[in-house]
Amino acid sequence: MGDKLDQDNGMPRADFVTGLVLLGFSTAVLYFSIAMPRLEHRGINPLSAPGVVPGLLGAIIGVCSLALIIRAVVRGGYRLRLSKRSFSAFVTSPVVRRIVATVAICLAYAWGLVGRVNYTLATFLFVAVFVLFFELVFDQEKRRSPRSTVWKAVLEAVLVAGIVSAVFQYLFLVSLP
Amino acid sequence: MLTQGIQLFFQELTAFLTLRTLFDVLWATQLGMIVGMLPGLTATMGVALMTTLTFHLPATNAVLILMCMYIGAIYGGGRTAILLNIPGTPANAATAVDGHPLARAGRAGEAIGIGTTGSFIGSVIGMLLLATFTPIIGRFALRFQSFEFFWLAIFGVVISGNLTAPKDPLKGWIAGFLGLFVAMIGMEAIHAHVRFSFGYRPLSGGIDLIPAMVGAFGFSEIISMMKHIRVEVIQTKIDRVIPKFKTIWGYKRTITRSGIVGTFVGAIPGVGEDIAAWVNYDLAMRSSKKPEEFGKGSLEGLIASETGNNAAVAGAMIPVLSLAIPGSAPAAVLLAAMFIHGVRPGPLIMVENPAFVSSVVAMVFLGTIAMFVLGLSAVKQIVKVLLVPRSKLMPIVFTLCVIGAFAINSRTFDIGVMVVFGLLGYAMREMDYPVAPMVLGIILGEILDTNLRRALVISRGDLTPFFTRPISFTLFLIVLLSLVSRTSWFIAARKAVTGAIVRAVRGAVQRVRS
Repeated sequence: MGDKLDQDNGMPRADFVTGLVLLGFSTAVLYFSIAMPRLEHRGINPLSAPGVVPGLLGAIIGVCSLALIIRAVVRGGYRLRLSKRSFSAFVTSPVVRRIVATVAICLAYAWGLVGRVNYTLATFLFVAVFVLFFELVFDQEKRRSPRSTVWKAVLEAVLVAGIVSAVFQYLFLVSLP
Repeated sequence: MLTQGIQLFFQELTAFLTLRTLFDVLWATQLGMIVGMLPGLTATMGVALMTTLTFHLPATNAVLILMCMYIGAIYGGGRTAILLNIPGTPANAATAVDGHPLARAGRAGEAIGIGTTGSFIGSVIGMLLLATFTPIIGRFALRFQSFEFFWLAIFGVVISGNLTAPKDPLKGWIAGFLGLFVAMIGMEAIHAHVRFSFGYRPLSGGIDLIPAMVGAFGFSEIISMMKHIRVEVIQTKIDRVIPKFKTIWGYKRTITRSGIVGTFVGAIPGVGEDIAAWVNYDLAMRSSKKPEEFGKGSLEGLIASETGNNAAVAGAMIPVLSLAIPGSAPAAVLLAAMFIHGVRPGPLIMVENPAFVSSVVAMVFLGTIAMFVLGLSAVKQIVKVLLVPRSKLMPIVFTLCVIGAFAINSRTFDIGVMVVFGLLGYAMREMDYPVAPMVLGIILGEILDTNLRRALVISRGDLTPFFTRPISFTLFLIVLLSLVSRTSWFIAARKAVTGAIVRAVRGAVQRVRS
């Protein structure tokens, strides 16, 4: 847990922002729960209306988020100290770039390719791109020869795509997405 | 009753003694160990992915494979903790504290042997307690009505929030209540009214637990793993693995205590093996004759945490079987898997399907034996798995997360659920919110929803039965105590009171001596 993005104990600031988001969320939950149909026309007991429990949960989350906000304010978390410099330092930090790359490649596969392109092809592309991107772009000091890296990545992608597709389609009888 | 239980156990055990089943036990436990060993693959993720792979099998075979995977994974993580100082699963963090110094001192083999034996005995103690307490709690829970189930659901998320976020329980509770809210999405169980779908049809079926868990524990773990470059090299020599009986016997008190405490910590809803290991580590350090060795390679610390975390595996199954409430995150997946396979655990299981409880005990027994045998053999070869770099391993894991989320219902919507919960899980991790209470909330949501409304209808809106029925009142008191026990004034008052008691007792002892 020691490798947080924010090293200067930015937790009160983060808590302040999450508290506000949660407060907005809980207010919305409460509003939609109250506005939910009570199904009177079906003659049901109003105490068993569908909105009762979500409303209660909305209220509880609201109270918790208020506590979070108050605590963050007491600890000085309302001073957000946003500046261009801290923003650009954040964007260019290698950790953030690695996170963005991981999420982007995974999302492109899960939301962009799967279901649109043939599953085996999509999986092949995903594995190959993921391995190559990290081994050639980020972890350069470990790189031995680019050619063998490429070959190994392609081989891995072929094996993974082939085996996973075959196992799910023929052994588990899942119709692939 | 006892003889009947033993008879049922042997009946179930002999039913499992076929070549096919034993083969399943062996590969599932070995695979579990490998999953547990690889940092970034946790027990929860392994069991969740395996659920998607086994759901075409008959119920008992599927649950057996999942159980073995769970036992193997919690054990396997200790290997990495000892050799690399990286806990393979969160449950082995306490193991690393003393295991790794031992490995650096050239005693890796001894540490692995002691850890394996501790895990084995812990698992056996857990199994015995599982067999004893499940029927008792199940029979007791038959007296529960809607009022009690309401408090039980609240108690689950509150205590899980307390223990999984010890520094900041508020965040644990928020995670728990958010989980309860997630369960509100989709069609509710009393009037079949669709809530919070906003006209989006796939949401009307609700959020499935398995895709959500695969995301929250799988995808989010992939992101955290990929964020740093870490070169993993193993240079430790592994010597004799099989431990000496005399060494183990020397720690008999630590082992017994860790087994019992581990099981009970595991049985607390949503509180898993990681907490069990830390609690036992702490207890061992406090009661040890050599507390100064802790953190520098104490065999006692190692054995306490490894016994505790494996005992918690069996412990986590106690509430699964008797109350249909998971004791830990992997147990939550097992519970979901049982529902998928048409087994309905809960208070009625002792009436409807008493053999199933003995069957699960027999599964724990087989998994434990397999773990012990596999754990002490082929140590050097298996450790080579750790040489696979994460840039090669993680895309395979994500591929399995995607197809696993899809496979259960064949809906691409579930892939989306997996991704959203993965991102949410990662954000929660960064902000120090524990994920386990949220998962527990997703399971307990329906229990809370139907029982609170039912109770209100029964009592005609009167809230007093929630506080006057004896079991309800007890549960309410426990919830209240778990909430206030974390406030600063309560902690200060408790310290003052214990301080006063200790001083009084010391004074009395001195007076008696003089």
